[in-house]
Amino acid sequence: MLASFDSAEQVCRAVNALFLAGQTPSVCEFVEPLAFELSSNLTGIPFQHDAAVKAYLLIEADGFDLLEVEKSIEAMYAVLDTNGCINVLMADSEDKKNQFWRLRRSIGEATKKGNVYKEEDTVVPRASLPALYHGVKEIAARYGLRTVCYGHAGDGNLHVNILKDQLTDSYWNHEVKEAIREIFQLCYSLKGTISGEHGIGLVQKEYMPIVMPEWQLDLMRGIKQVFDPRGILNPGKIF
Amino acid sequence: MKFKPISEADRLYFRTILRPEQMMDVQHELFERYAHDHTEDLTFQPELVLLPETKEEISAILQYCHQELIAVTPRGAGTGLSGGALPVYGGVVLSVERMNAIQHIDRDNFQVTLQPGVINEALQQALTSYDLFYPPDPASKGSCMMGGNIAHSSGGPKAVKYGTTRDYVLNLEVVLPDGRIMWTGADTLKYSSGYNLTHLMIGSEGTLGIISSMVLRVLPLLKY
Repeated sequence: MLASFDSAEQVCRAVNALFLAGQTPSVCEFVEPLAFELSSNLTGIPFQHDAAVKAYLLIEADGFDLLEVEKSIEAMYAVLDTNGCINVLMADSEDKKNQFWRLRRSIGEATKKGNVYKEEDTVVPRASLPALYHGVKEIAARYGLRTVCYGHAGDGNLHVNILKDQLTDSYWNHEVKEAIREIFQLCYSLKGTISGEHGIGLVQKEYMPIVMPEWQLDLMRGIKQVFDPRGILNPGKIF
Repeated sequence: MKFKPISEADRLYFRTILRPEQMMDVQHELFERYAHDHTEDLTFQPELVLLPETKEEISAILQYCHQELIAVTPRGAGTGLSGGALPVYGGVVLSVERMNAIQHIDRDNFQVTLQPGVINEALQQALTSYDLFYPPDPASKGSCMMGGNIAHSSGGPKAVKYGTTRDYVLNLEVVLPDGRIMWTGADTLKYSSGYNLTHLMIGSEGTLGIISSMVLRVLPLLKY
């Protein structure tokens, strides 16, 4: 089902209420309206957006017994209803469910289409998701950046796509990196980190010192040295 | 870091351990794909792409590169978003894409043993016919490979209920840079026998060793 809310805070309160009610959705995705709009444009799947809605929550339940799954959906619906939800769209057919999923899974592609982008993989304890989301928007506004945010509300993992649009290469390679640095500092201050599921690789390694001191990176380098004394394996990554 | 550029002698050596179709040079029509992954618009040219099919071949490649100081960048499907598969120092890209066998599905223990080049969704489909279920489902599940999933401890939408890749790995067969091959732990649900090297390998992004086989924990298949 797809639930709509008037704020990211309300989404997180509702998610917490679901867990407190003993419900663990198998999927619990946060999506900002802009993300669905872009995805709708790409896929051609119609999407009605109400201006009062500031955040969406895509929820699924699974199980071994149809009755139990239906009961769980009803229980979750009741929790959402009493926790500030504006509206709930039920995926009452396999087609509808596939449409929701195509909308969700096409967001990445839709935001990146015809644009250069940087995709961040921020993660914080899940109750801090609204603080992270608003912080990202505030930082982006200050730097004049367009961002598309979506991710996993159940585990505080927010994907932030930053779009290059008409920015100059110099701005993209300098000021935008400062903006990312601020976003990651915010993650760290919220007791989160700079990657939840994408890894550090090449593009995030310059930000590692935000989340750990140099001597801690040296501990990692020491482990690397034991396994790979000549440093031939995937050089230039993580630290 | 100073690595040795790949010479004709190196190519000749690789020809002694691999068949011609397991090597790609810059002239090969598919060579270009190994210069980038799904990270932004970044491109780094490798000097040579090698496509081993066995752990012994990985071992021989690594042993040689270790000795000759040739950079090796491991690669699965190249769907990563942090540039982990980019060969920033050139050298060899070692792709595990040909190692795509599901070696054993063990319904008695709810385990599956597979090679690193198996695509996430292919694993899910194979398990379905045994009434088994592997939950982690990154957005790229249709193309990403399990070796890469482990290298990055990939997540996905189902993590909220089922956890990430890390929660399903029991044991890993790893080839070390000097060519030695080890299993990191045991095929058990409990493990309290020294440092947990299995979990050290998960998320290590191909910087410590190359995964040549893996034992994963699976769940009974959900009906709804």
